[in-house]
Amino acid sequence: MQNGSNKNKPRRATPEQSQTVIIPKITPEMMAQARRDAVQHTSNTAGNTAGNTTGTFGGTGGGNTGDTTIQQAKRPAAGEKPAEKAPEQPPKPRQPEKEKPSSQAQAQAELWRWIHDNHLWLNNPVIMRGLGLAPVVVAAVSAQSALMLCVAALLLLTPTRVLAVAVCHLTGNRFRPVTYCYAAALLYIPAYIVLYRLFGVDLAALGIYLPILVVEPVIIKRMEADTLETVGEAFRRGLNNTAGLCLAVFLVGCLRELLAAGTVFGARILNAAPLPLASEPAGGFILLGVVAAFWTAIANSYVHYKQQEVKRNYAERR
Amino acid sequence: MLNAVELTLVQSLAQFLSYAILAVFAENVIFSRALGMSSLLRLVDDPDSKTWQYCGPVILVQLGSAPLGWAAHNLFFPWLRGYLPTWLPIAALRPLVYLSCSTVVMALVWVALGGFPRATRQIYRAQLPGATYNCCVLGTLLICANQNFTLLQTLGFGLGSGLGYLFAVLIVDEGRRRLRSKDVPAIFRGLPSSLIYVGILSLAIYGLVGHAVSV
Repeated sequence: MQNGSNKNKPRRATPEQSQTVIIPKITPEMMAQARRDAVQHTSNTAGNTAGNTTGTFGGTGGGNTGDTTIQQAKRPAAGEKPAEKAPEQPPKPRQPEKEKPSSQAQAQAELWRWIHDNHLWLNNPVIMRGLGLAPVVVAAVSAQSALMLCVAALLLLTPTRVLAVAVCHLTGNRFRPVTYCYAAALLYIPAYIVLYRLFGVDLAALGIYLPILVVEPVIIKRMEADTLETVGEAFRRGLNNTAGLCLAVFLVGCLRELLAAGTVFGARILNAAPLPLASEPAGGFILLGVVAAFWTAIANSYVHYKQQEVKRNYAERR
Repeated sequence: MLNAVELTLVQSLAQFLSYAILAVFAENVIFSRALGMSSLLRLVDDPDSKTWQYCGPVILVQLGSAPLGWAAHNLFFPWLRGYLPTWLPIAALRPLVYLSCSTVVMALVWVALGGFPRATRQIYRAQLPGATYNCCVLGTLLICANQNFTLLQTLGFGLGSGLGYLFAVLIVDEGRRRLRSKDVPAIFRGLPSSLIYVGILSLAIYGLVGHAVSV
């Protein structure tokens, strides 16, 4: 953001900058003229940032600007006839650009939006929001189970959200719960076939926790929202949620296998099993609770740091 | 002396009750299998939702869909198996079929609620989709099918699962209220303390039963 905004600012013409762009083509008189034009243009437009970022001297308004001076200097050098004075063109419409928030409240709102959209860490669906707990607590007892759940989530979560949103657009956003659940149940059919091809009978280790993914809140939570998102948004958020879910499932699965058996993916890491209870649902609840506590502590510290940063940056403007 | 019919009735009733009690305590949907845990945490956190307004529909849908689920497992799937292509395993269709069972019951409950006063009807109808499309309901149907329960056992287990869910909500609600104390370290407040609390209760039930339940 910082670089982008600087890029659009009218820059002060220094000899070093001008040399880098148009070294042999411009006479010192032309350069001085261009510099004067740029300064004049900057003072006239007072805060109106220039849309044209190609010229070193900035400014695209009418009149004899630095750009036109440079163009005039370039043409004879390229063997062209010097063009007659070009008719004045209307100023180009300003490009919509992402501006820095102008107030602390705006910056904080932007920060919260960013935190809300950060499904991988700060707003993880499992660890921060408590969604998808059943498969994580009971079924993700090993890295292999976690991997199967991750692939299942990958095949189900985003496609369900996209399909359900597309259908909701057609039905006028009615029957949302039925639409979401049936979208998931229909997509479960090809997903199961793919999973069976990939993992074979190992899939039985997930038991009922594979089919219940179709009603798992992490997949169909959106059915409760009244506002209908676009298909693109559904796709983006679905992918974000999938990444967050997979991270949590995989972390918990590996940790539980390590604690319960001293292995990860069957490879021995520890000589003894430090906590055999970790493979039971009770151990899953407690372990996930401890992981969530530390995760929350780190995430809250980071959010606090970002909030302080916003306060520092906007302290003068308030 | 009981005659044969009376004996059968008593045995059936005993079987029904024993499976219901089993589902409430030893195989509680929350403490043993974590089914519907996310919905439970949301429910206890939401000050606007009353426990009965959510758990009432859960129990009704659970009980109503139990016989339909049994019929799907014992009658519909064996019939369907003959028509399915070899590349399409019947397991792939289970969620779709069991969801349809729940949806039929949801529609029936929705109609039955028409007999209630307007305010009550609206509240319960608003909770009905969330209660129907719940891991607890679908999970119980799948467990009954996996364990080949009879119709009576399925009914008892379905009722017990619904009641067990209510039981878990009441316990977690009370625990959550106490866990809001300032004595709880800041990083454990909220979701972490609730998970650890449920974990300890789950551990108690695990200790009582002595073995893990099948998934």
